[in-house]
Parts: sequence; structure tokens; C-alpha cells
Amino acid sequence: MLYSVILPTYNERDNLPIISQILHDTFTEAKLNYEIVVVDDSSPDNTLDVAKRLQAVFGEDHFRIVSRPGKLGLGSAYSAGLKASSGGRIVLMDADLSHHPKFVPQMIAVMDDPQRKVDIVSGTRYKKGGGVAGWDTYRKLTSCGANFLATFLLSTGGASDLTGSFRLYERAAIERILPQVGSKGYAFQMEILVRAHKAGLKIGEVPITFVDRIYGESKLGANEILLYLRGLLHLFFTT
Amino acid sequence: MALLRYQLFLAAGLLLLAVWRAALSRLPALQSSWVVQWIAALLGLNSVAFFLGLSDDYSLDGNESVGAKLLVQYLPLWAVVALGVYALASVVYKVATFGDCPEAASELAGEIAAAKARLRAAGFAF
Repeated sequence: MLYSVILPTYNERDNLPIISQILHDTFTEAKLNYEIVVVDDSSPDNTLDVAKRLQAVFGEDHFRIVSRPGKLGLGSAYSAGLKASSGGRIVLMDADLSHHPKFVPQMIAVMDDPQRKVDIVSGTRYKKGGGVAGWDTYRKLTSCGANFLATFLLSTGGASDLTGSFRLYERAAIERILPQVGSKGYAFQMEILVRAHKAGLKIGEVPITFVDRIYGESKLGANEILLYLRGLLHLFFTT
Repeated sequence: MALLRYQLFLAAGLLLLAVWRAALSRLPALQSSWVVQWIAALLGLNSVAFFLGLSDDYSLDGNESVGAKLLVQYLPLWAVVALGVYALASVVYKVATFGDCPEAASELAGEIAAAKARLRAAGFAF
């Protein structure tokens, strides 16, 4: 089984080498076949150059690069990464070190469990054993509030972290669901799980720790919140 | 065919309205029911009635329990209030028991240093 880790990057020249090395170490230690697929949206900080040099270190069969002409959105980055990948199972995660590769073997163990037969394993920050480093009370409030709203209004099959972006997918599952997803922003990840559940796919969970790497600047302005609520309402009326 | 989420909520809302209508048409019987009077008392509706000047005492029994009447007459309102309380309690609970893991950040710092060393050893120039 080949595992494809798709890493969308925008200005990650500092983090990309580190995440690649840790991924390499994790998969090698677990004796699993892997490939990293970097999808770079023409980062101004020249992440592409760093990616090419990393390709020389890890080898072309472990490290693929998709270079795109500009910031084209996360959904299309995932699609482009999927097309360029050959693994039977896909890991989607952030490249900024907020997600730790050590949880990937745990996700694989859940997916391998013959009793449960899950199609997607979602990393959750809200279950026991999971959590976040670096969130103040306001951030926790908005996150828990948003999550409550989503789990109350939508049918999510028991998933506890709807906006998380650290997941393991069977290739068939993500290829089937991704084309159906139209939301932007935080609602994007939520829509994947909602549509997967609606399609009858099974979702498992692994508690993960999330290290918030965005220092100072707020990722959570009024715009983001509105976009999320719009996505939520759209799903409420169409699923 | 499976219901869409908004249809489910709509159906629940209609059900609640039907129950409300049925309760209103049986108001006298419900008013003197001890179950309804107890629920009204637990929700503090007798006090509400007293403070609104609708009744002369807090009493929780008797055939003219005003609290019970308030309960039935404003049933949809109490449902919304109950939902609000549930939502607030859920979120506050989640925030209070939120998993803070500062050690993950310090662990990561160490691993970053180690990864950099291995990369340099493999010939990667930072």
C-alpha cells in the first residue's frame, strides 16, 4: 500500500523541509511506502526552489511536485495533488507543522481495523487525548461554538472535529467526495465530512494535538466567520 | 427518501406546534395535572407568575396553578429557551474541558532542531 501525503503550500519554505523530514522518518520507521506530493501555488518566497532541492534529497519516487500558476484555492490544490499521486490511501494535512506526522500511523491503525471498516479517519482536537497548543479563550469559544452549531444543524455521523484538516482517506473515498464540495474557507473541510457521511462512508477518529503556528495575525476575522456561516447554511438546506 | 436537514427541523417544528395546539385545547385538564404543575414549579414559572402579578402565591398545587398555565401557553418559547440553555451549556463545557497541550509546542521545537540536523547530514542546504 502506497501512502500519498498531499501538502498544499503557500510560503512554506521554512516548514516544508522539516515536515518532509519528519514524514520521511515516520513512514520509514513504520516500514510503510510513502510519497509526498507538494502542490505549490507559486509561493513568492520561492517554496518551489526548496521543494526541488528536497526532491534531490528524498528522491523523485518519494517526492513529487505540482507547481501551479497562482493561489487557486485549497480544493483545487487537493484535486491537483490527487491527480499527481499514485497511493491507494491519501493523507491530507497542513504543511506548516501544526499537524504532527506521528498521528498518521495511528490513523492507519484505525483504517486497518477490520471490525470498523472506515473510509476516512479524521484527526480530532476535541476528543480526549487531543487538544491545541496556543489558543486563547476567545479562540476556543469560537471553535467550540462553530463546532456545536455544525454538529447540531448537520448530520455528521458522530464526527467531533468538523473543521479539522488532518485526515487519512481511502483513495476511492476522497475521489468520490471532493468533486461534490463547493464551500470555501473553514466550511470546506466540514463539507467533506458531511457529504461523506451522506454518501454512506464511514468515518473514524484519532485524537490529535494541533500546534497553532500562526503567531500574532488572526486567521479568524469577521469575513472568515461569515463565510463559515454561509457554508453551514448552504449545507443545512442542501443535505 | 431521506429528509434534508432543514426538512427534519421543519418537521420537528411542526410537531411541536401540533403538540402545543393539542395542549392548549386541553388547558384546564393540564393545569390541574400534578405532572405539569411540578414541571412548572421546577422551571420557576410559579415565581414568574407571582412577579408578573398574575397570581397571589407561589403555591405549586391547587386547581388554578398559574405557573402550569404559563407553561402550556408559552410552550414554544420554553422550547427555544431550553435549546439556548443546552447550547450555552455545551459550549461552555467544551471550552472548560478543552485540551490545552503546551507540551506539544515544546516537543515540536525539539523535533524541528533534530530534523534540521538530519537534513543537513543528508546534504540539504538551508
